Amino acid sequence: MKQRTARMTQDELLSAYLDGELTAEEREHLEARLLTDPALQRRLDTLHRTVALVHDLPQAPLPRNFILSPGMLSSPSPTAPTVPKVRRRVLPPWIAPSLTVATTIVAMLFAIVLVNSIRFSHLPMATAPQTVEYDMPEKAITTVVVEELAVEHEAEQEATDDEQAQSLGSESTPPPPALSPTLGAGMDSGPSFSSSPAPLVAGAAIATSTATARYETMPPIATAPPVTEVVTEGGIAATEEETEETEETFREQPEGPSPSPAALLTLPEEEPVTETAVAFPGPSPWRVWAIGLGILTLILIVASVLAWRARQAGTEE
Amino acid sequence: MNEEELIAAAQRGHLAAFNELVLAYQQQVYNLAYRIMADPASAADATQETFIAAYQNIHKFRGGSFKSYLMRIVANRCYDELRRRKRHSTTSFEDFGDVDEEANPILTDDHETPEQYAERQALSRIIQAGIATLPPDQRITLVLSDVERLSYQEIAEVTQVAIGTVKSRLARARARLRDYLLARQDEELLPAQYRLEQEGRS
Repeated sequence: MKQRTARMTQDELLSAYLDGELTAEEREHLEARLLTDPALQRRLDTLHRTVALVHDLPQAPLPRNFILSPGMLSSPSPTAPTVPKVRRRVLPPWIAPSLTVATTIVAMLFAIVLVNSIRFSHLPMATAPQTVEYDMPEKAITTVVVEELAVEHEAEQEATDDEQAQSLGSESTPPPPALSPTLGAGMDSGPSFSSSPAPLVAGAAIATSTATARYETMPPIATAPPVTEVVTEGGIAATEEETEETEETFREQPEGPSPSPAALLTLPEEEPVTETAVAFPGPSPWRVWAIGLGILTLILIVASVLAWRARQAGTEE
Repeated sequence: MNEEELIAAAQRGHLAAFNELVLAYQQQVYNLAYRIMADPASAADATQETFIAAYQNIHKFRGGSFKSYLMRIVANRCYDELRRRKRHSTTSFEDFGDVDEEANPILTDDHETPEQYAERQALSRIIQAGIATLPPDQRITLVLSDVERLSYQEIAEVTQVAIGTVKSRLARARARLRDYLLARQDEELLPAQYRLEQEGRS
């Protein structure tokens, strides 16, 4: 190791000697040693030969010209390279991380609100189309049934005086003359009702079922739900048992205790309108929040990306 | 315009004036890059990047040797690139066989026989391969000294180290290259007329 260090020192001396970088004293001392040390002289000769060979290396041919064109330069002028730096440093360095955190929080809120929006908006959206489709037949049937039940109640009262009134529940008999205009008006209001009876009877049953569900949620009229339930059961029974029956059969089908006509007649005619208002409550608050948060999330994402880019550009400079 | 006027014009943003300086120094810059990188494509990239960087930072040039200014930039570029691919170096003797030095008419000698020309080409490849075996700092120092003929002081300015460090690096680089060439001589790869010692090693 000591000999190697000595050799390294010799090479440094010889190298500096070849370049004329030794002091006069160092040069005289080395030249005196070279006269008496053939190995050192040989090292000097090989080193000198090596330097000469390197120096004689030909110049590498230029592959092309390296003159600059304006397109090669990223900055417009070398005299004003700090202009973009100043513009980019306007943005504080904490903006980008803050925007990222805010984006994350808003995105999480958006996800929660979106899930709730989907969950709570499912039921009203599913029932609304049925209400719209069968709105008019429902009105007609409700009107017809209410008036029909009132007539039946009157007929039962008459039956106690007259025995011929018992055949009214089992045979098809024309309705009382006083009810014909009303029934005819109800029939006219549903144009497809008379042309295809069977499907519309089923449609009426569905409509009345929907109406039943809504009546149960309506507190103002206490006597309305039982009346509607009776009508619904009667409608379904008529649909299952007598598909070929006429509308008169359908009207005469309900059996059992009849509700009070006074209670039936307390149903206001505006009731279907009230149902419609309940069935279409307007856009859900969850949905409004979801849309708002979604827009805010998109804006924050774009702002975060721009802020990080600006920060990275500033760091590179 | 002389060099100072060209530099002043380039500092005012005149690209044409700077291109005059490019034409004056591109051969030296490319040659230095080529001897350090030992690869024409890498040398061309380093040369182009050097002139672009020199132009973009010419407002920082405060006089002195413009050649040293360019050499410092290209040396730093090459040093960074060598350090970057130090772990992935696959340099071998065969890598230096694709240098088309014949394309340069300056390098041809009318009095040279084809055998002599072939020997000189072989010698150039061996020397270049020997330089490529050196560590980056020694390689740059050797090329600046023995190819570009810069003084110790100039090399210290270019590489931004002390003169004593320059002496040490240069001595080690020369010694390693000598040992490399002697090894090729023992393998009889070095042409006879270019052998370092004619009587054999003792």
